[in-house]
Parts: sequence; C-alpha cells; structure tokens
Amino acid sequence: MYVRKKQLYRLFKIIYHIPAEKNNPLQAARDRYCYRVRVDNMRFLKRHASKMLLAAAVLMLAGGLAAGEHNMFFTYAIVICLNCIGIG
Amino acid sequence: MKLAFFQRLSQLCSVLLYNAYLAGFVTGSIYQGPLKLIPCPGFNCHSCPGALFVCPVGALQFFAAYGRYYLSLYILGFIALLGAVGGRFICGWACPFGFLQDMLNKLPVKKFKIPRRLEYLRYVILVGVIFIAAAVTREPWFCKIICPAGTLEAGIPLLLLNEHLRHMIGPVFIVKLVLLFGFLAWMAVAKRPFCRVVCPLGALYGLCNHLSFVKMAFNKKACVYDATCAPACPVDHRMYRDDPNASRCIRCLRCRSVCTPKAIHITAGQSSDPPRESC
Repeated sequence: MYVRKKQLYRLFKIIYHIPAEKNNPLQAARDRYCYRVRVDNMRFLKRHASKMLLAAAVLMLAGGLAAGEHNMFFTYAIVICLNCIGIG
Repeated sequence: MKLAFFQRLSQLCSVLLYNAYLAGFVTGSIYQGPLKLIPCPGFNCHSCPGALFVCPVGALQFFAAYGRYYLSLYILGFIALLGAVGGRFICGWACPFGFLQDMLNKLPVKKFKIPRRLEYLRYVILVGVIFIAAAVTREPWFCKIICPAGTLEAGIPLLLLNEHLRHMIGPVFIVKLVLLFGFLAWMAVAKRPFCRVVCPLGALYGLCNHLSFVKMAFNKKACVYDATCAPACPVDHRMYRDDPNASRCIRCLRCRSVCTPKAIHITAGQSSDPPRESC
C-alpha cells in the first residue's frame, strides 16, 4: 500500500501542472489523493497532539526552572501586591 | 446528582486549599513560605491573606511587565501541563472564582444570556492586556484595573485588617470596587460571565481543550435532543449543537450527569472525531 501511494505521489507530481478541467479523471484522482494525504497528516497531528502538548509543557517548565523564573516571581509573590488591591 | 455533589465539594476544597493560611486573616499579612513558588491552578489572588500559591495571571503579567523576555516559560508550562491532562477542567472543578460565580447565579433574580461574540473578548484581554499592554507600558493593567479577584480576596480584607493601607486608598481603588460590584451583579444575572468573557486563565486552558488527553465525546445517535443538558450547563454550552471540545466547555460534567440516554461521554487518550469516510 505504501509503495502504491509513493508511486501515485510521483505520478501526481508529474501531472501537477496539468490545468484543471471539468470531468478530468486524473485531476479528480489527484485531488482525492491530496485530500487523503492532508486528512492523514491532520489525523496524525490530532492523535499525537496531547503528547506533543505535554512534552512542550514539560520542556517549558524545565526551561523556566533552569532560568530561575520561580525565584524571580517568588520575590514578587511574598510581598503585598499594591496593584492587585487597587492602591498601587 | 452524585457527580454534581462531588463537583461542588471539589470546588469548596479548592477554595479552602488555596487559601489555607488562616493566620493571615488575623494578622493582616500574607503567606511568605516556599509554597509561593508554585502557581495556583485556579484564579486566586496571591495577595489574599490566606493564599498559599502564586496567581498564574499575576505572575504572567509580572514577567510581561518586568521580566527579561516577557514570557514566563514556567507559568505557561504549568498551565499547559494541566491543560494537556484535562483541558479546562480546572475551571469547572478547582477554581474559587468559578465557585463564587456558580453560587451567585443561584440567587433568584431574572437571568440574561451572554452573546456568543462577547466570549472572544477573553482572548483580546489575554493577548492585549496581559502580554502586549503590560510589556509596552511596564504596568500590570489587568491586576491594577480589571481583576475583581484582587479587590475581593486581597483588597477588602487587607484594607480592613491594616490601618496604614487604608490611608493609601485612591481613585483606582474606587474604580476597582465599582468594577467588582458590577461583576458580582453580572454573576447573579448571567451564567459565569467572568469565565466566559474576561478570564485570561480560562482562555489559556480553553486552548488546550482540543489537545488534552481527556476529551468530551458526543454520540449523536444516542441523543434524543430534548435539551435536558442545556439548563444544567454553567456556561450555556450546547453539547448536541456545538463542538463537544469547544474552548467554552469547562468540563464540569453536569451535562453528563443529567443526560438520561447517556449520549455524552468522556474519552481518554483518543480522538473524539466521527469515523472516517472512505473516499
């Protein structure tokens, strides 16, 4: 199946510049194939989106900790925020 | 009904847990221990005398206004971590301000609907006020002017407990007080207006609704379309009409508990898309 997809892809690359015509079966097949590839890509992204988000979250947390961000806002959080209470 | 009880219990526990430094309510000071290194998952002002954790919105503003590179990776990573697990479930289960809104909405007064278009305002506030305005003007405008949680949880108790702070009251505090009472009145007549229209934290969690491990799924074939879930929803989301994982949904699962044909499900780690059509 994979080889066939690859062959089809090569074929469509060759015919890609053929102008669109009504009832052109090659054009329709190309469109169908491109649509399927797009859907497959979207499905792959959707399937792994939560894992990617989790990995990004862990990386950001680690990056923030490494940069010492927690110490920076700790100094801000332990004093009464006059802006927050409306007199700053 | 059981689920609704647990949701209320979870909200109440979150209020008590986030504000467990009871000594602060007596002395008029705030907690200064190591727990302030951890961001609070819900919307809770860290200048509240009882607050144990740092407010994520306040910390984001602090970095935007005074930080070296405007964005706090630590806070955004923390929000993304919770968002990756359950999307906006914190808003429904562990937000003190959400709990306050749910309680105020129980008051027997005439109710009004919030226009859907107004809900995009929270993204404008998130990007425009929290990040851009704070970075450009070097002032935390959200905390300074808009935030009603700061006035309610920190401003009023601290001013009552500290005489020297009372002498510093100016026009900004009056504006904040008027805004607070405006929000409280709005909460009584509409369902969760702050969460839907203003809350930047909810906007960030809402972006994760489609990407989280835990998702909502809706079975169109099982639904009888009698709209029993509509009045139960605290954010006016219609599962049978809208996207089940829309950024508006706070995942309180109230719709699921009242749905008799069990058309609403929770899915974990899989897509809630309809089956693929062959082409």
